[in-house]
Amino acid sequence: MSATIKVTTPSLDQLAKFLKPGDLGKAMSGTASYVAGEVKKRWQEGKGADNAQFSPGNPNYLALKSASGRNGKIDLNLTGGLSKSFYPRKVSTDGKEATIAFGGSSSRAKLTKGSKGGTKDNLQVARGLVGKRPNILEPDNTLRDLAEINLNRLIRKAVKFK
Amino acid sequence: MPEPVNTPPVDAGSKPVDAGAQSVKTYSESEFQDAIAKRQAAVEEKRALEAKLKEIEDARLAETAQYKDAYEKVKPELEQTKAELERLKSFEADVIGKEEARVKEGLEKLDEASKAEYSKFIAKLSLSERSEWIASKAGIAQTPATSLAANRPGQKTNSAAGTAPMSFNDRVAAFKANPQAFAKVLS
Repeated sequence: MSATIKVTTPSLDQLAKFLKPGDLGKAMSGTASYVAGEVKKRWQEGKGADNAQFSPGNPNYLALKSASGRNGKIDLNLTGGLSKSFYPRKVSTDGKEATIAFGGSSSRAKLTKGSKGGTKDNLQVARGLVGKRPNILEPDNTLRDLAEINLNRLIRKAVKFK
Repeated sequence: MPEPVNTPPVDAGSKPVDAGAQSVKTYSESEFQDAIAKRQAAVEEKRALEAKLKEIEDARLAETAQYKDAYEKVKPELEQTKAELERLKSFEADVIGKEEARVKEGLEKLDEASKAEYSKFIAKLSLSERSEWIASKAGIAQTPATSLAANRPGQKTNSAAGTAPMSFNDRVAAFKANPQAFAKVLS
């Protein structure tokens, strides 16, 4: 199961012609960062990328989370490691697609602490989470509109107007 | 179409311009806004297609769920019917086996009964009637020369020998002398 968000949009050629080579990729990367940030904000509110509330969590997990001094809700933020590891990781060579994914460049960053102790690979944890709550990584149309606005803004910045 | 403007001016007194220097293209606001609007239309078209696709997918999932639900409801009954069918098959095989054995046994008994009945019937007949009856059963013409009594085991066939056929009294005598041979013919 894929645990990524592909940031892409149709008819980019319409705008790419206004840009220098590489500018489109930078704009897409910036938009992907924006999307990742917005998604994380939603997670902190106990919502998926689609802005819908997460399904209720396992009571044992929530009790364990409360007992460790953290809020007793599902926000994908037991240690913060998983959330931190979610950011734009690559932009396609034509600059038309950016990928936001979990993981980490170092072996330490790839691991996150589990609720039952020990460590797990972030990607493995994320895949499990997506299996349980598919809305984690499914942006709604509002977020997609915001991303479009952000992309247009970044492209506009790179265009030289008369 | 974008038009190249603001090409760096080359002053006579300045340093020669690098041959690789890029000209800076500038665009009008309206041109850019036009491109934004066109792309926005493409985005909306894509969204509409996605929504339609999702609608189809949801309908398919709902239909699948409906079938699954319906199947789950009839599953116990289906399992029961399957088990009943298996039971019936086994019962059928059992019944057929028993019936076959019974029929076989019945046929054997019937055969013996008919043999006894036949013997009783034969015993009641006079010798001539018996001969006649056996000949009719054997499909032999009703002539003294070819009658079964005339062809009993141990007897020479008079017709084959070319002599006159045996008289009735001779045949009665022959039967009395060797009834076992006659019984063999009957059996």
